[in-house]
Amino acid sequence: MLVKTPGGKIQARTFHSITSAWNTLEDAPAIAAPQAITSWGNGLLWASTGAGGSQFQYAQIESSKHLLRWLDWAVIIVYLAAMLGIGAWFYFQEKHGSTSDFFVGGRSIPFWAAGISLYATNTSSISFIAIPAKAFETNWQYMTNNLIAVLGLMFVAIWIVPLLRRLDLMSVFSYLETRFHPTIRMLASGLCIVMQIGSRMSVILFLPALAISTITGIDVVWSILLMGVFTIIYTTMGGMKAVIWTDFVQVFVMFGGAIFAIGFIIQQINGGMPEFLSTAMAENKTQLFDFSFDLTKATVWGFIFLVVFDVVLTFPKDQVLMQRVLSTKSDKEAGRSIWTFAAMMIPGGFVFYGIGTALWVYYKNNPERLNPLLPIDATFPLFIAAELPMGVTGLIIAGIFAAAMSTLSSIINSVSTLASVDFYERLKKNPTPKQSVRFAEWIGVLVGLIAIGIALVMSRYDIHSLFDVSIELAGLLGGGFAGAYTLGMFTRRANWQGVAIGVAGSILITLIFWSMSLVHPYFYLAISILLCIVIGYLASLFFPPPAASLKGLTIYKQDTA
Amino acid sequence: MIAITMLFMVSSTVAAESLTTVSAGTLPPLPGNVAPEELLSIDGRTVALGKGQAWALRADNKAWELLTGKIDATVHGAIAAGGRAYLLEGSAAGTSDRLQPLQLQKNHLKKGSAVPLPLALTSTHATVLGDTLYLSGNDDTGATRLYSRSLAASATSAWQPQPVWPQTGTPSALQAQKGRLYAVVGGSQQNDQLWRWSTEDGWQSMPPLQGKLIDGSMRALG
Repeated sequence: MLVKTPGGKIQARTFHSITSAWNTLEDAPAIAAPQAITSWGNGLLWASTGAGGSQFQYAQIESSKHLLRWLDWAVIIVYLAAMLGIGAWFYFQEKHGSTSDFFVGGRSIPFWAAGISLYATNTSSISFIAIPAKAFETNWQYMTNNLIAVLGLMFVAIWIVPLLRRLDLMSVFSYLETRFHPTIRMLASGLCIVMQIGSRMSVILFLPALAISTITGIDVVWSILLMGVFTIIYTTMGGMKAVIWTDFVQVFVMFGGAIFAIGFIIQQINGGMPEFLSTAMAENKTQLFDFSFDLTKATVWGFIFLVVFDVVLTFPKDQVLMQRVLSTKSDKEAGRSIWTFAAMMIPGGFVFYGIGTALWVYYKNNPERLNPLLPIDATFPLFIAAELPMGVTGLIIAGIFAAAMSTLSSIINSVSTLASVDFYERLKKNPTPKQSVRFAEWIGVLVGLIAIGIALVMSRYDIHSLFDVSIELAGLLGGGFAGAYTLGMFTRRANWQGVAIGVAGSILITLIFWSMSLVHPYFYLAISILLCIVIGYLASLFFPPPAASLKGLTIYKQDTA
Repeated sequence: MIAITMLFMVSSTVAAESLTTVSAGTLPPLPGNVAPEELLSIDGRTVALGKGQAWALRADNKAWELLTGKIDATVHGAIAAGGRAYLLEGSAAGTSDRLQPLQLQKNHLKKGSAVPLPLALTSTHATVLGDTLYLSGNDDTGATRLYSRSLAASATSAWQPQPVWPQTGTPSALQAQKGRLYAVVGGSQQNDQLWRWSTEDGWQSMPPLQGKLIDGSMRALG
């Protein structure tokens, strides 16, 4: 807007609606008494009367790019080379003669490494960028999800993990075959593969590439190719061990960069830590819990609901996470890996939400350093590129790459495991372990290339609405199978006929809800799981109880293996 | 952490390079050097109004083209938001009493059916938030009024009175952005005051402008 100062000068100013700070655009042209004004791109067009009659002038804000310097590139190259090195080391060390080595690291992974890998897998680059942006825009209420998820993970560690770990599975969907029917296993596994390739991997590649490109000018295509190709190579070369140990390194790169960033931001705030704390608390930016019963807000009750359905009940069918748990030495170690994961979520939450709040205080005090044209999600990348010292910028971009690559490598490994264990080994008669591993390696390359391809298409064409629909559909289709696990583990009466009807019924009814937009998409997963449980259990009553032994398949003591 | 510390030690700090630049330029004057009374954007084209006529800026920004269709009322303001364009029209004495929707069909300025304001207002400003049009101004007693009207509903949709910011004075601007309304209120003070409205917090005062807003210059960015 244009403001006439008490001294009579007309200045161009911006007001940032999140930090509530004014900024004067010092390099705006001289402006003389505008008579009529309208928008002009990212600025204004105005008419004024001068000596030669009426004149039209415009001024608009343009973004600058912040190119990476040599030390930034050096850090990124060292990081990528280290990831390849880990993959190569496991390739030459292990030779992967058995499927157990390749898919679950020979079940020799220590619980702490598995726990850190769980955290790395769960923390994608989207959270690295989006969580600080959320805290910058609002407060810490969304971190309530982390705290409640810890309670949910305790339940998972005590009740669900020991049960599945004792079965010595490689694919979590094997449980559905043992407990119910092979068809249910194959359908659930196939859907999981399609979901991961079609809707998750490409987003994990595309969104951080877009954020980095917006700020630094690194082409989106290059970021996608760098992350995708390097991940494919070390994942397919090194198998599960490479995935877990690169995750381990990536967590340190990610956390190292994030902790440095928060320290650096607070150091840059005039007044340091006391100013940071007092400003943030005065504006309720660190508010955590909302106990109100308002359905439109991020309340504690909403997060409990979310954690029950999105964490606890879907965890057993989450091959990507469960594969880490299944790689540990014993069921006790498996439980401990979940405890480690849960323990990391709390400090992790404080670090990433803390960055957002620190950025808010920093930009409130330094409004001229904020680019008003950028979306909120670009706030942290902007700070990384524009304010951090040379080299550290590279480290944190490596951290964003690390967050993306750790999730991506886990998905590639999981999808290749499912394709090999649930399909190849069942459809090809008596394959050797070497053949299974070789098949998984090629599937890993293939799914990685497909994800890169979809991400590149996303960078070229606006297919986001189509993509949103596919994510919604995948979510509501997957809910039914989560209900099947609940029926299998927590009831003794559920049988395969009932569960098949439950899964089909839940998908059908949820699809009707979806097509008629009867509820907010937020509720599809919960509705789908609940429908499967209710329909599946009631339908089971019309068929005989399971004839086969339920030993080791339910949480009940009489079934304990 | 050692690596980070070392990196910090060997690295040079970033020079405070500019994050944005302001590009400026000029456009040709209107034919006959007519002084424009209003500028607005209709269907993505810049339109200038003056002496009852309208011109649209050519795509190459090198000339203005005269539009068919006359503006035969006194215009007190223009609103362009969410793909819609309106003129605030009324008497010569500065009172607005209707909203005139406008559309651009090639080089013809087409008027829609005028929407009467709930009452005659001075210092009138309007903005569009989602599918709702908000209108502010002072009534004949000098009291500030704020109304909303759904644009999604039929033409019979009525104006709804809304709570006004708790400050007397002349409204200088009304602007919507990201689910919130912003109002600038002037008066005898040296500095105008910015107010923000949201469904959660109602009207909240924001830091003052340190000066007086130039009428029509408040725009949403980002």
